[in-house]
Amino acid sequence: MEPTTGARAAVTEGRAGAAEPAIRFDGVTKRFGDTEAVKDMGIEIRRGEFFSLLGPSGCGKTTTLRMVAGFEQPSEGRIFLEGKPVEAVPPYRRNVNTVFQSYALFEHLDVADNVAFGQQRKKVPKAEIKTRIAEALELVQLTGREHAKPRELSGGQMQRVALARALINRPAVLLLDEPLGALDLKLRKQMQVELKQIQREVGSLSST
Amino acid sequence: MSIARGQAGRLPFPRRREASRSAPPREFDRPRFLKWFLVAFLVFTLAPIVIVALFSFNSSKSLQNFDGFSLQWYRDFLNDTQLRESLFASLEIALVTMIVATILGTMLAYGLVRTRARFGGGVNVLMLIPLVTPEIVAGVSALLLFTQIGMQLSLATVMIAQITFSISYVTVVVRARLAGLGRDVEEAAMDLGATRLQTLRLITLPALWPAIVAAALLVFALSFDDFVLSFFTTGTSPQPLPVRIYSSIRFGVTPTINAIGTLMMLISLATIALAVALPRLVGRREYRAVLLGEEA
Repeated sequence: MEPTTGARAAVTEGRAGAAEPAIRFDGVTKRFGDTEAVKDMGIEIRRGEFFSLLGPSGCGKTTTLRMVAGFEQPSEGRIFLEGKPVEAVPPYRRNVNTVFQSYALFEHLDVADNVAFGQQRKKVPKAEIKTRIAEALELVQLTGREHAKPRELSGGQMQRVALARALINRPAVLLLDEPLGALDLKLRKQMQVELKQIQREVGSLSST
Repeated sequence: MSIARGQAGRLPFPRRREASRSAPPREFDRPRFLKWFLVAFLVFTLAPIVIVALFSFNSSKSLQNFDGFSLQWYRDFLNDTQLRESLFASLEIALVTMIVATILGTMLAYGLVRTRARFGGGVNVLMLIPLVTPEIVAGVSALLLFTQIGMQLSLATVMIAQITFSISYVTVVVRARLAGLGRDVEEAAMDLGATRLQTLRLITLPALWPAIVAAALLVFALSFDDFVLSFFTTGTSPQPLPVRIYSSIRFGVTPTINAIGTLMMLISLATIALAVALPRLVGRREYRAVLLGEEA
């Protein structure tokens, strides 16, 4: 590779990383009727950062994630993804992917089709989707289960399918809603290690 | 013994193993006389049907003695233009009712479950009304409505009446399935880049597909042999088959009726069998290719 090209690429990446946080909350408040789920929240999460939201149930963690994903609109304040305000951007156009607490796998599709879903929507060429499925499944150690249906999988396996389904799209932000909640202790430890490995590639916000 | 029973007595039903260890199993969980209920039920349900089917193949006009096998009553039926017209009228009504009611009922179910509609509660109650309204009331009021607004009674009026009252069945069946399909599954699809329409087409409808098919075939079966609503809302010609049978019975029962009855039953049975079998048959990989025109 020519040195100048390499240098320019590095600069761009560096600039994006330094100047534009992956997620920025600016005075975000979310109300449901009379209850304030999220109050005047202001955070910045850099690219490549692993950010966890902690707190008792009902304190607004999931609501925060849903606002980033686009399923809820803030009552006040603004949210920026990669520097751009997103109130007008619908969920399907945000460069954000979520691993749902309930996994929310597509029961009628097999593992490979579940994982491929996001790439197919982006009209990625078939051959490329195929390689990416293989990569993603290898990452979550599910190679060989391509044609299993979600109901044939264990809880831990379903979660890893959900994770692969999100990661394959290489989102700017990966949201994990209670990512380890449903797993037993051994699997939890194993997933923690795996998540740390995966984390280097994407900026991620997680709720535990 | 008495102690053991006292402990077991805490459970509403003592476990089988415990019971067999201490005492011979008591059959209180399935009383013997229920068997006789079952036999009586089968006799009263099946016997008339079997007799009708049997005598539809009788070679003589007798409804008491079976004089040999023949297909003449089926020939009679198919050669009778009026009856044939009625059969096709009934099939047409059932088909149109099925298609329209299924589409509308599914849309209503989706609206009721997935949107925070302002009139949601009211619509929920309104939807149940056709299910609890006696059909005779529905029929008479439909007739009054059609004559009031000056609509000519015809097959179209039968269809309108039946569609109106079939929507609820579809909605009830589809809604149950939709409620079981978490909202998060659709959100996951949108999260992965599917628009609302794509989510509906690729995720929601395939998941609802077995319920939609079952509801559609249920409506077809109900509509095909519906008598009361059809009787009040039909014009003179062609009449739906059940209405035609009723009017011809007034001039005496002929074995042709048996033949028609047997055929109608076969059509209904086939519909129900399809409702049971179809989701299983096409529930595998290839159904997306069939339904959505996508390669599996």
